[in-house]
Amino acid sequence: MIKLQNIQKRYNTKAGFTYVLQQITLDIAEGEFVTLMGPSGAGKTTLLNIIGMLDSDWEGQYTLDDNSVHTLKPRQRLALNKQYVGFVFQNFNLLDSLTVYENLEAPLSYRNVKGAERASIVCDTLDRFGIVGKKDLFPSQLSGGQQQLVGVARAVVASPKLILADEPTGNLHSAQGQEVMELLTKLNQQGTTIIQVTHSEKYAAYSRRIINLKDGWMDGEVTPRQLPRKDR
Amino acid sequence: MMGTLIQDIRFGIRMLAKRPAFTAIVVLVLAVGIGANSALFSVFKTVVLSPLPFPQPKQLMFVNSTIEIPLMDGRPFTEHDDGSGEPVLVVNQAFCRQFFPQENPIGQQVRVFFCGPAFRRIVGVVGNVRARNIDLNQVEYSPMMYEPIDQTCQHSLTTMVRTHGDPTSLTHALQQAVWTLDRDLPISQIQTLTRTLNNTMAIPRFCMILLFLVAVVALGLAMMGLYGVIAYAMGERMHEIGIRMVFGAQANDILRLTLQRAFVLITVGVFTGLVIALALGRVVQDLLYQTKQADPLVFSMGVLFLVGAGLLACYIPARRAARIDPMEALRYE
Ligand SMILES: Nc1ncnc2c1ncn2[C@@H]1O[C@H](COP(=O)(O)OP(=O)(O)O)[C@@H](O)[C@H]1O
Ligand SMILES: [Mg+2]
Repeated sequence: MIKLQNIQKRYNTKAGFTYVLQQITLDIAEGEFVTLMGPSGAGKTTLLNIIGMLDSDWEGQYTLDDNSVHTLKPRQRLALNKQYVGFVFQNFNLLDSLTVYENLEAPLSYRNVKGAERASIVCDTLDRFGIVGKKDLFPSQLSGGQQQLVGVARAVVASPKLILADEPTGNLHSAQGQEVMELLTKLNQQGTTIIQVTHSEKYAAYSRRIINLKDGWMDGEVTPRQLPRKDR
Repeated sequence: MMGTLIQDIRFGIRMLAKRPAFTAIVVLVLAVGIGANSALFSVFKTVVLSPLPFPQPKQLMFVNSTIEIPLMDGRPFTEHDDGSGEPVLVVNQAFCRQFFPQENPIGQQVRVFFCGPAFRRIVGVVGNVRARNIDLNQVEYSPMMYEPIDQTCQHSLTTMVRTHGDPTSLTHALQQAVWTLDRDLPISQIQTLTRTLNNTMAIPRFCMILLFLVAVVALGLAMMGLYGVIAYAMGERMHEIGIRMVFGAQANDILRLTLQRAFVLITVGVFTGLVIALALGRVVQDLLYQTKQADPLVFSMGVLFLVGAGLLACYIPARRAARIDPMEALRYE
């Protein structure tokens, strides 16, 4: 599904070029659950944004199914993002001025889903995530865990093939984090491809592949079984 | 489409309610804009659309006894009203209304306090005209008396001549005509009516030009203010725009969203601003001749223009927002 070849990303700083990703070559098949790990500043978010087509300023080759992303214009990348990707952020990134219901509705409103169908999808999703009672509340009226439930719900409401989760549990305490991880696992079992970033080996263990990044380079790949026992 | 519009409007109003200071600035800027605009269009309308601010421009000046001024009652002067005849007067309707509200003025004798015979009889009543000192702010006609040329003791006279064709070509002939009567008669001035009128209007016109310039400057400032405010709001919204892009909003959606929001903002601002502008309008009215308070045409022109200009001011930042990389937009906090 995802084929990255020699992806490089650099920033132009006063000191000159700084490479934040170097020679990233990576294949991810449909239905996989992959974790990106590595110290802060390693380039995990950057890589996720490139995969999610939020960033169009990089070099290398990226093929998503039959699409050569590197040949597309920013506009076309955005259209492809809309077709494939659901995002979950560490800081939730909910729309503060919209209610929970409206937050879930927003992705559908950009996808030509008609009113009645839209309402039924939103209600189903609210139900699935157990947040029906919160639908008229604003994000600021929710706890962090509840906000991230909404965040995940929003990511899946338009049935994306690929979910990109950037430290989805980073701002949650462990019970909440576990709930989110179980949700992601369930989505993965239903066929959604998932790439997550996490610092926690416990949460990394939910996935089947762990790719390590360090200073913008790929630094080996392991399976959860190979992780030190203490964190499991 | 309709659904998102309603959602956007709801969202817009929520936003405005959450930021009273921002809203107040927008409203104020728009109010100034509307005021300036209305002033502009008032001037435009007065100067361009209605050429002369008189009810009947033809009756601007009085022209001898062949009388362009309509005779309403009694008789005009005749050649018998000379030095040997009874001193007579023709008065205008304003005169009658003021001095003879009940009685028939014809045949009444009045005492006058300028040179010549003191007691004179009214023989005719004529319509009201603006004869001299066209005071543009004066709506009422003033009372007027006319005396026959052979009974006057004025030292100078203005003679009005009706011409066919270009009046300036007759200057020489007119001088000759006067000098055949009396070789020593000085002629102080020969002037066309248009010229006279222009001179009379010079000061009000100057005021209008001044007002026009002030209004242009105010409008320019208001537009710049609006642009600044919108651009600022757009910056505040960048993060939101980024989120929306991540969840499927395409460039066109962002453009539509931002313009719709701006439209809501401007509409709310315009209607609130209208109230303030009505108050400003009072000031404008004092300055401007014959601009009615809250002239609906003028106001709607002003409002339409401002909404259009406002949207235009929004279009530039809106387009910039629509083109940004989502990742970059998300970095705004
Ligand atoms: N806009 C930017 N300009 C310059 N450097 C940046 C910018 N954004 C990120 N970086 C750098 O890129 C590197 C990778 O960042 P990031 O992908 O966010 O790391 P991670 O998510 O792994 O913590 C960091 O060293 C960061 O300082
Ligand atoms: Mg990161």
